[in-house]
Amino acid sequence: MSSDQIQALKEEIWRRAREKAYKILRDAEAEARRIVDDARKRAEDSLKSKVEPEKLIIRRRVLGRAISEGRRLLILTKNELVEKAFQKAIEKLREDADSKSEAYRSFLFKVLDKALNLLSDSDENLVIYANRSDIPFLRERVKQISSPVADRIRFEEAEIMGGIIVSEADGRRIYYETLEGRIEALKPILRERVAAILFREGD
Amino acid sequence: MSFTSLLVEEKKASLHIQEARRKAQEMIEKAKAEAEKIMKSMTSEERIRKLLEEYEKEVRREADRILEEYRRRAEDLRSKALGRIEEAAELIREEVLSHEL
Repeated sequence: MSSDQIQALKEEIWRRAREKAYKILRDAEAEARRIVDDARKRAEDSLKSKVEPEKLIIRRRVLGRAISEGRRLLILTKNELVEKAFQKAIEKLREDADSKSEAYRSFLFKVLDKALNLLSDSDENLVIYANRSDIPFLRERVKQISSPVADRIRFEEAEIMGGIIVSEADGRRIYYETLEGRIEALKPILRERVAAILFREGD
Repeated sequence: MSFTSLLVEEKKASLHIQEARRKAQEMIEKAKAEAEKIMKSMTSEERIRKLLEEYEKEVRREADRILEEYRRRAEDLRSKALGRIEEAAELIREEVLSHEL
């Protein structure tokens, strides 16, 4: 073998060796990158699986509380406004009672008529409780109506805004029809209608 | 030049490849260590705690916005309803004075 041929073989040996070494290093680089990328992905997945359920719990807790607090605020506001309407109505009714408006007198006489009608079969004396300023009107009304119990009626002053309480003397039967009582009795029924007026859409 | 010199070159080339393999192995080991470090740092309790704290702050800001919206709605209700109190009170008055129970 000539020295040229040997030289050519040596170069071939080195060319192949360098090629192989280069491939080994490139493969290793790729593998190293894959290991790191894979680790990053696994870490992200692991983090996600630990954090996401906790996030959901936090979200539900914090937002749930805010929504519940917000709803409570709306309910309180609505209740407060409905209550304001009732307070305003009480003022108006007090004015009616104080001024003996036509509507109030009509109410007073109607409840008196109704009470006397309901207790017309009573053998007992009757006591009519009313506020001081209503008693003269009621006395007058009793004189005007024909009732079997009319001559057995006694009037007593009561600290009420308006209306009457009629009681048998022995207290066995009592008929309540005060303004205060009617407001309280009607409150649950009227709340919805009042709310419908106060919170209707439009206008 | 002789076959002996060829064998010597062959040996040197082989060492060159071995060195490449050693470096490759080193790279892999380094990558594995790096991977381990990534796993530890990304999933540590401390990191999770901080992430959740940050998230909670974010959700609280959202909650504040929700609550603010409810406050705005409540104010809106109030301002509209106040103009209707008279009408509602009149309804109550009429019902109370109505003799029909």
